[in-house]
Amino acid sequence: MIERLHPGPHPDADSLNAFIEGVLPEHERLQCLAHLAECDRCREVVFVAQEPPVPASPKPVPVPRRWFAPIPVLSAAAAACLVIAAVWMYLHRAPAMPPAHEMAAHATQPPPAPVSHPSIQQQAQAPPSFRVIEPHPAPRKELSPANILSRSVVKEQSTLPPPPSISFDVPGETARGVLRPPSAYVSPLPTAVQPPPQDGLAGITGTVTDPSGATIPGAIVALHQVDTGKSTNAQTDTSGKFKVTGLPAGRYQLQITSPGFQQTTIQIDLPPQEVAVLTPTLAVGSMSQTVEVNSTVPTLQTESASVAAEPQPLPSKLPVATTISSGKIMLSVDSAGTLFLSKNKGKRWKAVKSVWSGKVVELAEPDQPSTAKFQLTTESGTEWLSRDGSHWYPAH
Amino acid sequence: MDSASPQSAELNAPAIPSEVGDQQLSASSIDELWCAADAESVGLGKAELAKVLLAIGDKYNYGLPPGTTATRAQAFAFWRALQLPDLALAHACALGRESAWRQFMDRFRQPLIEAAIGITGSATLGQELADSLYSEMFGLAEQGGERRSPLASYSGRGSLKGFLRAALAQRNVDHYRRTRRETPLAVDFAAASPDPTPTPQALSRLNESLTAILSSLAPEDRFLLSAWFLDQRTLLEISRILRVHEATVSRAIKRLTARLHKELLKDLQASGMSRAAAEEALGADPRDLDINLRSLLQASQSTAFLEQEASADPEKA
Repeated sequence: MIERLHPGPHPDADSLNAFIEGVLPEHERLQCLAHLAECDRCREVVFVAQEPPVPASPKPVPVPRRWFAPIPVLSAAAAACLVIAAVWMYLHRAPAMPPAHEMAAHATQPPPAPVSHPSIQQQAQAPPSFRVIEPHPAPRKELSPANILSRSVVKEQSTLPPPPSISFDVPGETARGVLRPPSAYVSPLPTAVQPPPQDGLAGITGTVTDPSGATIPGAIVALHQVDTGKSTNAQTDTSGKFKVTGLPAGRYQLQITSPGFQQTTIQIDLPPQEVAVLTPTLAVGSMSQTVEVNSTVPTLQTESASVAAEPQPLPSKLPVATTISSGKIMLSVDSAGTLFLSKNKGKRWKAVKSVWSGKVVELAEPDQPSTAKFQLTTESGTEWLSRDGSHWYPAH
Repeated sequence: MDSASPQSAELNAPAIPSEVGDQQLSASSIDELWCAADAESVGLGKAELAKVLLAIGDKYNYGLPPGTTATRAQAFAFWRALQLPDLALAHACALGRESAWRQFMDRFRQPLIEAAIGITGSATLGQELADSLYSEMFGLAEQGGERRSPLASYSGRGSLKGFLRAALAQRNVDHYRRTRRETPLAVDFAAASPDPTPTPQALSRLNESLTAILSSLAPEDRFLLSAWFLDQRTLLEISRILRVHEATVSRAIKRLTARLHKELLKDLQASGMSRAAAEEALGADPRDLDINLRSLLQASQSTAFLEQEASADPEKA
């Protein structure tokens, strides 16, 4: 089986190998291709003489790419952040809504001794009874719209009336001012209604002011239920507001005291599921003097009544010193003596451009209402008149 | 086998001129190429190596197109790009140096057998094929009173291992083609008979048109069509030969087929056939065109080439 090579017209093994290995110059490659195109024998030699293809290494099965490819460093940092956030949330949210039995236990336990610079682990492992409890979580929850909507459900669940809870309104809200005659020292009648308490019980809220309309912070409001003899105390906040909720229906007596003012006592019949809004005005005097006001006519509105719109705070965020209104037009002077005008019953306020000098110290109705509707007095004693509250002219 | 060490007498030669061309190998160039070829280890002298290098350079015109004269730098670059160690080994073996044969046996004996087995697909046939080539390379065959080894035709442009594989493939294909002639011709004709064409006149026109179009194709395109349609080679095999991606081969075949179809239609219509008749001649289905192409491409081999082949290989004929 010895055969000779075929040098003749066929490319020799050397040329074919050079063609297979791709080392032929271009002109020789084309000559070889031209021959291969017509010579099936050499084509077969070329294909047979090829090196067998190297078996490809098994490719790894492609793993579907996840939407989040964790990077070691970033994932560790993210895990640390999550742990810190979880600890922070646990420390700050756990005391917000403690169980009822824990709340009861807190009332009897003495305050814990202060611990200086506790570590995070100590804080995390410390029982909830040693943490500081926020002062008014529950009453705020009672006034939320969600709780108002679920009020009927709560009423069905509550079989025994809980003890009355006392809270204050959110700071920053200003007291409402009403147009009242200068001689009226006390205006105890409820003038507005707030959403009823969510537990089906009644409540009393209000703003304590002095004869000039300024709010009285720190006034003591002692609430005494005449039928049962139970008493509850509240104190007005910085804006002079107070609120007592969770009260059973019945007749109550309110005693409002403040240093420098006369003690005022208000009698009120509180129907169930209603909140009375009071605007008591304390007369200036000694604390021994007592002014009694009997409110026998229940002016409370039912729970289906719409909530009255309260005037918005003044743009200066300062307490209201004086307020006067005529129809939808309201004028207010803040404690800095700046005059503000509202044409929609206090929904929006705008500062009045002053044509006078100095502060405004007094707002009143003019002696001759036919010529003007509003009158103001500056600190220098000059008086100014206006029909619409925005345009002013000297009274004399 | 005779062993010789002629290098000592040639060391002082300033330059060795080519017997055919006008190139010369300077002593420094010979030294560098001789060292690069590690010819000393296979018992090949500098003069012998220089003679081989000059012969190869003259045969292939130093890699330049015909009619171009190579400069000395181009010639040296051509020599430097050769597989010098393989070249020295092959020619030392062709000259019968024992050290070269020992080295050859160590390096290529087992790969030669493995390649032969891989080509034939049989261990027995592979061993027989490898032995036959081995004995032929050893110089058992003589021509004109001289021993003739296929290794003497190795130019060093490709690897020696590839050269041996090509030689094995040549012998295997020739053997297969020689034995295939013993199979009944009717079987081949029946297997290769194309689908009946519409009319003999249409087929004749189609043959003429296709022959003209195929002759105008580039060599690479013709090789592509032949390998794809006649040899039924895969895209991978063709892509490895042409050193392009399989997708490139696929696109080229598609482009060529579309071009042939279009030009055939145009040529047939120019010869007086209506478009419908031309479409019918080609076959509405492109696969019919493949069948026609196969038969026509097989017949496109030039008669002169067959005569040349027969005259160069009288044993085969």
